[in-house]
This record gives sequence, structure tokens and C-alpha cells, in this order.
Amino acid sequence: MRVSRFFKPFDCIIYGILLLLICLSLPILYGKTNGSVAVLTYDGGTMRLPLSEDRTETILSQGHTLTVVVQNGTVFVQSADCPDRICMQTGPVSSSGSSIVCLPAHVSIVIEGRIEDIDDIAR
Amino acid sequence: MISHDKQSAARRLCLDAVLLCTALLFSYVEALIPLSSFPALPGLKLGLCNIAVLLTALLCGIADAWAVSICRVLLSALLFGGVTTLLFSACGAFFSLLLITCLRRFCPASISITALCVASAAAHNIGQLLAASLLLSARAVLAYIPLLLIVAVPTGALTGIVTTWMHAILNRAKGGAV
Repeated sequence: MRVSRFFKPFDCIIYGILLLLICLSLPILYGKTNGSVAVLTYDGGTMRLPLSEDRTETILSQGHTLTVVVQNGTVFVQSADCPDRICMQTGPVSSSGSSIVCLPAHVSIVIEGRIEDIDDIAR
Repeated sequence: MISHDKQSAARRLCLDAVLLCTALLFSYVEALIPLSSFPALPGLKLGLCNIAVLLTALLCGIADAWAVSICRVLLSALLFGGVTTLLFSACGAFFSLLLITCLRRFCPASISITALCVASAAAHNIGQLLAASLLLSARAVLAYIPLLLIVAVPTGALTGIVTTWMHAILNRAKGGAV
């Protein structure tokens, strides 16, 4: 192997260890959404729904009834009796920061991920 | 490396002071470059200070590098940052210099300056993550390790190449009227 000012044979060990560390730590990167929580805010309170466990919640808010379903790590509004049904059309959301909002019923569902906390500090 | 017997204490002190000023200047320049505004990588920095610290280690010895690094962390936190910045950069600087010390002790000549820079950039990032894990939940921080390790390669290589050039220039200059 050619020896230059910028590269000596021993460097391979350093780069090898670094590559090994990167490979070992990569699986951690792709498991990050598991800890996310859907924060359900409605007229009369808030509810924290962990995305890891499937459940169905029926809530009454501003005279409207919404059925919120957590399934397979996603959250969606299954049925709503509000006039526009925008919340139902939003479909399932799962990534942190995304949200479902139902204006007539004063309901919002925001996905909170722990990854967001880092951004807050860095800012 | 400048031999210590020929080098007077005053000259070494001056060189340390110049390198400390360079490190502080790099801290300021780094604060101006908005690399951390890339959406995916908040906290990303070039690690330019590493050039000055590594040059100190190469020219004046590892003990001086520790002194310059500690002064740099304290002064740049006073000038440009706050308590959080101090904690983050102190942890990063400590780990990167610890790794440089070990590498210099156990394999002095067989490693290039570029690899030294890449390794210390990686150690710096891991140190900063440890600081972050003190403030945040450990899981959130773990997700960031691969990204910061990957980023350490180009930034470390860049500073490593600059350090190699600077080291050659300064070594040539020591024979002259410096």
C-alpha cells in the first residue's frame, strides 16, 4: 500500500474500527419511532396514547363524537360526525411531528417523538 | 516535532498562545458557518478547533495540547456560548484529546495526521453525545450515534489535511527566523 503524507498503513485499523462502530450503531437509527406517543387534545382534557399498543378511544368534544384508533404504530380517526370529516381524510399518521386536526370538534392529535427533543436543544 | 531541549520555555509559551488564539478564531468562524441549520443534522460542526489543538500536540507536546484545549473550551464558552455550550464542548474536547493522547503514546509514528483527526473527530462527537445524554433521555441520543460517526469522516479528513499542510509549513519555518 502506498505511503503518503495523508495515509499510512496503520490508518486502516482506525478506519476499520470506525466502520465497525458505524455498522454496529446503524440498527439503533432505524428503531427510533417505536417510542413515539400520540398526544390527543380535546375539549375537556388531553390523552397520551403510546403508539406501541393498539387501542380505540371514543371521545365527545364540542358535541361531536370521534373514534380514534391506534393500530400497528399508526394513529387515525376511524369515524367522526363532524361536518367536513377532514380528520378522517388525513389518514393514518405515525412519524413524529405529524398531526391530525379536527377543527369543528376542537380535537388535535400530534405525534411526539423523542427525536424532536434533540432538535430543541440544538436550536 | 520541535525538540524540547533546543526550545526555550518562552518560545513554547508563545507558540501555545498563538495556537490558542487560532483555536478561538476557529471557534468564532465555526459559529458563523450555519452548518447546523441542515435539517437532518443539528449540532453539526466542522471541528476546525481540532486543527489548532492537534498542531499544539504535534509541535509542543500533548501536555500543552491539554492546556490549550481547556483554555479554548472555557474562553469560547465565555465569548460565544453559554453553560450548555460549555458542557457540550468540554465533553467533546475531553474525549477527543483523550483518544489523541492514547494514540500518540501507543503508536507515535505509524499513524497519519489525517487518521488522527478522523479518530478525534469521532471521539469528539461521541463525547458530545454523552453530554447530551446527561440532558436528555439516553434512547433519543443513541439514535444519533451513526449519523455523527459518519459525519466525523469527511469533517475529520478535511481538518486532517489542513493540519498536515500546516504542520509541514510550521516545521519548515522552525529552521528559519521564527
